[in-house]
Amino acid sequence: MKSIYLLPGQWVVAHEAAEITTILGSCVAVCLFDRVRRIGGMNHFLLATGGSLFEDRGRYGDTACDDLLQCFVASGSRLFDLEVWVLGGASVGGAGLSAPSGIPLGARNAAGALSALRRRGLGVDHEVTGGVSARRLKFQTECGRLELKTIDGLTPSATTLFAANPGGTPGGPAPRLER
Amino acid sequence: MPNKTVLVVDDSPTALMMNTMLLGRLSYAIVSAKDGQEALDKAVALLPDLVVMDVMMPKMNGIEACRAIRRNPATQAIPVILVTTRGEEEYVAQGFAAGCNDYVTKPVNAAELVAKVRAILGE
Repeated sequence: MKSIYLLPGQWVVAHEAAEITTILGSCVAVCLFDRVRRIGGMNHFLLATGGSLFEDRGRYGDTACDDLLQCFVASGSRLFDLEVWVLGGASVGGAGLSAPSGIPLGARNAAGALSALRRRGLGVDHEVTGGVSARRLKFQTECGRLELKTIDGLTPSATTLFAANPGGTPGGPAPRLER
Repeated sequence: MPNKTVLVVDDSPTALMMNTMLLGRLSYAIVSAKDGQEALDKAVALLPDLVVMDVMMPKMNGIEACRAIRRNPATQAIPVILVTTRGEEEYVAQGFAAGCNDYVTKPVNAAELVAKVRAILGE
């Protein structure tokens, strides 16, 4: 299986079996899995909004989500076949929680992802955002299996596994396998 | 109200100058260090509001310095942003495990660094 490490500001759609890994602090990743075509993809953006027409589109939630979704749709995916995860957006170590706006950067990023997806008519099946720990994601694109592990200097890491809905029920939630 | 102090740490004079200029434009008081040991010494002496620190440095790297900052009761609450290079992905995980609060990747994008600095400083 091909291994892909996704840097901040990048996105990828794998049309062959691949494991995509990334590490998130205040950044957010959106993972999409087409239950019918058995392909998956992920983005990793740093700021909620601000993407332009041509440059640095992967760094901003609005354009990064548009591009990731567009890649699925343009290659034949239907919205109701897509399983959607929104992950990350932490305030690691509690930093930034005292922002005068009351909304830390990570929370703004998570809200940006939800807003961008909703604008495109896409619901979210799984949202694991916020908190005070960084997260490492491993996403297997041929089956939609996702492993989420917290990285924290103070407490033991916790691992959560998700599997895509095997029946392909449109909009149905994917089962959480274990914690 | 006094300006907030940011300790910028990098062994590359060019990177140090660029980050210092960028954050200095935001009216932060900038203190610089060129390796992890000097960063640790200045963090203890000056108690900055934030540390922005490269990972790969001589004497003491950024991850070791971050861990040392977290171990010292006097400095453990100071937020740390690590600056990593493409190809150093494992250092990102090690950095979070050492207690850093966020990271940016070289080449540093000005908008991202500023957004993260301001967010962590609660602005």
